[in-house]
Amino acid sequence: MNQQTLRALMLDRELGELTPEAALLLNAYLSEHPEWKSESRETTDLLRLASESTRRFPERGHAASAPASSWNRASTRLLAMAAGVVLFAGLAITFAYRVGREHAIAAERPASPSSSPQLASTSPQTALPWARYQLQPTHDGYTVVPLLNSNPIQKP
Amino acid sequence: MNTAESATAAPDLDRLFRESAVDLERYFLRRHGSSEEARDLVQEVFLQLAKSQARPQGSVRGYLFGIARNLSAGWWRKHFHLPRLESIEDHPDATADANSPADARLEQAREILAKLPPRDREILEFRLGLGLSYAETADALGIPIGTVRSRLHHAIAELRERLAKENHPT
Repeated sequence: MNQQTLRALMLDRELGELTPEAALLLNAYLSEHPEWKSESRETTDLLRLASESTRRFPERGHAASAPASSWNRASTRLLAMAAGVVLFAGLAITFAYRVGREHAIAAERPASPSSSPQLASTSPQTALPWARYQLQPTHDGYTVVPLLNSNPIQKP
Repeated sequence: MNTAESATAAPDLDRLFRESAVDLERYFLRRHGSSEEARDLVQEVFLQLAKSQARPQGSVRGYLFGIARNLSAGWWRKHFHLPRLESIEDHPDATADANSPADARLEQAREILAKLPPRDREILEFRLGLGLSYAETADALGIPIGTVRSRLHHAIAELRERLAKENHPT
């Protein structure tokens, strides 16, 4: 009989899990092989120690990871919330930066020709004959200003 | 339910209660720390057994502890946010002298056993802590008897090896 098998049988005997016949056979074997006596004592001692430790230090909560899974759920929720906050903050900062940058560029840009009130009517309606001119008020009446050349035609 | 069934079922439940209520209460007390809670949970176990239509396949005691285990897990899932402030000294089993010479070895054993996988610790709890048989432990945990036996043997072997290493590091 090898050591592992013998240890297992001794443990089962200590726990009362061996059938009476098997226990008798084991006892007979051990009495014929006194070299295993210390092994038997050690097994008894280990079992007593493990039992005492288990009884004296009960495990609060559920060993089959129930609290752990609850912890996982709680921590996952917290992580998701934190990730959401970080994402929101990132988007807000990016948006603010872009708006600020556009404002700065707009402030630095020179006034464009299209902003002139005289040329405001330079529209794509050039296909029509009257669209080539526009009236500009002067101190004595109106001046017709051609849009395609700059020579003004005085209107009486 | 006919009269004959109820007549036979009621004494069984009574007998089961007489035989197992104390051990179940001890189990819940170890898991939850409060006597009142433990008693409520024991009642709940028997209520579930009475309501259950299924007949246990293996040992009834193992089946009862299986219900107890599920109830305990459910309780912890529900009340996990509540802090458990009761110390080990509140437990009736934890009355040994903390300064006895054997305590250092016991503490070593506790540390070693605490590092075992949760399933192995549960097996130790049922078999060594509560005195259930291999078969009852297997029924309570829903695993084969062979697994209970081999995991328990593995735990004791681990304890033997680690204690030898720590006490004789060479």
